[in-house]
Amino acid sequence: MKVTVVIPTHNRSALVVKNVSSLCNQSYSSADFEVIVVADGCMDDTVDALRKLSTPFSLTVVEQPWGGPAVARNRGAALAKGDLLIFLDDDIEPTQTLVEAHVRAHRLKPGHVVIGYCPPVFRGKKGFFSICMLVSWENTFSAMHRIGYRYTYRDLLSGNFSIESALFSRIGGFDPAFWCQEDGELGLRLIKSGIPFFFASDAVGYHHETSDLNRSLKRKYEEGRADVLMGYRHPDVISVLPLCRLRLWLLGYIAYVLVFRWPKTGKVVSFLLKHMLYFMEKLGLRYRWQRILGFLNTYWYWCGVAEELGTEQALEGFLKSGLSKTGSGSEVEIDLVEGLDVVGEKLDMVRPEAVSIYYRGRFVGRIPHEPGAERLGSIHLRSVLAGELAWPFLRAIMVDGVLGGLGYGGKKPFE
Amino acid sequence: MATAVLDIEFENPPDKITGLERYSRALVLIRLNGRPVGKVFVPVTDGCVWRSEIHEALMSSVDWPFWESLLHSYLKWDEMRRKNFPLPRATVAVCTRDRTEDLKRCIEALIDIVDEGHELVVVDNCPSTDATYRLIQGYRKIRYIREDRAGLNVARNRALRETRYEIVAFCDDDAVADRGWLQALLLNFDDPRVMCVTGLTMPLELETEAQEWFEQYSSFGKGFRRMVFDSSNINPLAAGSRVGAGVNMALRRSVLKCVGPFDEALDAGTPTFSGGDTEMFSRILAYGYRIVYEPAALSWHRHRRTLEELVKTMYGYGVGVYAFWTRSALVEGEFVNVIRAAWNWFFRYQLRHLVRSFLRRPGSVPPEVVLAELKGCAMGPWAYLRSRRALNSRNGKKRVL
Repeated sequence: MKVTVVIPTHNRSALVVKNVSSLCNQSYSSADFEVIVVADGCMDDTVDALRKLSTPFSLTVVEQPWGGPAVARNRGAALAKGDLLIFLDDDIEPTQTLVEAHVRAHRLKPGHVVIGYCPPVFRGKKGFFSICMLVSWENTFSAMHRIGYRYTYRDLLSGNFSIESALFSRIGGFDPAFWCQEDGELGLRLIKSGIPFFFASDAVGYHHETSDLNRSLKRKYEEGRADVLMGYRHPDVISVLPLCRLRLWLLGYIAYVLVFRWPKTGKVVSFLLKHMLYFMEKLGLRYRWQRILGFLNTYWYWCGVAEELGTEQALEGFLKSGLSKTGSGSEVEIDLVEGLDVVGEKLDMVRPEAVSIYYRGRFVGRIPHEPGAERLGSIHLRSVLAGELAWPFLRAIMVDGVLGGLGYGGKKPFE
Repeated sequence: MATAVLDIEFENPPDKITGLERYSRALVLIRLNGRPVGKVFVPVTDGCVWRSEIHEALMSSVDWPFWESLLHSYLKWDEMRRKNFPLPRATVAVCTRDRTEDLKRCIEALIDIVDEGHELVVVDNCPSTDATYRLIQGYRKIRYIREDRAGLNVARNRALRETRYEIVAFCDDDAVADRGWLQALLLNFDDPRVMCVTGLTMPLELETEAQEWFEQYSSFGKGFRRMVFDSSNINPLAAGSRVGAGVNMALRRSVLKCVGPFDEALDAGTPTFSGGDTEMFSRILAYGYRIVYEPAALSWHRHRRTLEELVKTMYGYGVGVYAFWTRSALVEGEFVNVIRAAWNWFFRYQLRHLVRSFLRRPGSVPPEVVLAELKGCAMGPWAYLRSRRALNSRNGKKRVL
């Protein structure tokens, strides 16, 4: 399979050179892949440094005026000759088997979008902030690695993923209007067209995390703005955007009030809290520190939302437009008495958005419709029965005596 | 009188178990499809334990792990997990020092894993004779490593550095691993954030009062429910009480890079006596990784037999915990948390045990055991500094910290 690796970069020559150099000793035959680096408005020595490299594969470096990662990736994809596109960020250091692992995953799961694993790497001593980043990244990946995980559009992480070129152009590539969360937006279009995701835990690229507190807060601000844009493009997912839920949480509500009603006080409060983080860390108060950071993140997210929407009325109108578009999804009813395998096959054929589960007519539970999440199959059913619905399911099968043969003496869980 | 330790499969229990004349009661481990789901105490009458009694005791104490195990076998959940995550190969390291009798039993139980493709390593720590070496010569499949610097943590670090595989499981020389122990540990490494997995440790025997007291006061067993810990649900400094112990744990080799090596100033073979495993757990949690407690990874530990040994162990335990907290305060800068953890431990547990033991409440341990632990706590900080100084002078460094 011919593969094209597309790497957009913006003023990080050291990192991108490291990335491209690591691609030089891939286990995948270097005749079978090419690398395209799109220098997106680079003012540093990126282009020169890359042209100096001698690589066993064909390396193309293109320059363009600063247009954001979405535009850069589309540009790279347009020049690609491979059947498979692997997108890597410039701060990813691929392991030797990364390309091979992506190709293998596509052979195993044709038609899937394959998401690679990017364990974050930090330089120097680990402070609370880097630990916090590590936890949030690794949580994302370990959730995807669980059996029966239900993928959502947010799981498409552009740092390390692969997609067939034909599919990429059919779906229309990245939306250039997005400077942030462009990956989630593409993910949403893919999910909506029923394209399945697959997490390949062996497609590893180390993520050299260079973010710090200020940049991360700025990122939250950008995410707030991007979410509003997302809502305009896809009103049906407004109900799962953070801006729809954050006010239900006390600190989230306080941040909301500060941003929309008392912006001046908000600025002072966020300034003070940001500096308090330092003392919290010195004292080792991990939990308090996390709460404050959580508050600051929310505050900056609301600032981004406010930047786009302006007033509270506009926000209410925005949310209402979302609620009217959120359907209940296609729902099916299943009765587990037919046997798990039979029911599972049925689910895999229908792929509904929501399922009501019964056992011999007795209600066990429901897997609800979730906008922006993939459709349900047998694998999801099993994991929900082993997890969230374990108690009601056990009760149902106990009453029926399915497990009676085990000689547990007729004792039931709720006697 | 002593307590018999029995091991019963729930699905086909024997009608009665005989030959227990020496015992007044029995501690019964109940398994369902090989997985431990609970333990019960039953009386021994005329040297016999009857099936009905076990059944009754079990039914009155049956808990979530039992039902969960039933459900998972119905859903074939473990097979699915295995399909999702092919088990990696591992190295099992047994760190030992001059205890050939225990060691022999330990490696006899582990030797089969070599045929399954894993590696078995014995780290002989600062031996006074060549008895261990001669014992290992009898087993061709075992790799022998001699580490001359004294200290359990030194030996653990050596094992981590020399291992052939990514995951290293540690088994104490006075413990006996159950069949399937290693597999149960390994299955939990399917989550990349899991840096460490600990298992359930049951007493190998409860022949003497000292062993029963140890089991009551400071049991290694942390229940039959699988738990996933990270710094959001447990205070890293209080990890020792709930996470498990070094007697039965597995680590990723990358712990050396991501969290740092074991602190060689801690644990057996140094003035601090213990605490090395708990300190590692606390650092793993503080650095954002996860620790899983997996009761299916079962091993049996021979507790100390005499009261003197028990008192010494508890003293060492007190020293170890405070030595570890001293390190956390001085090296990791966790002053406030250390004070909080010490306060909690004293007022919630130690003081209560002390009062109960002076009042001779049923199920309490002799006061000297609790007092020994408290005395150890008082000595802990100095022991750590002393140990650190000794370590540095050995390595030719001037500064204590």
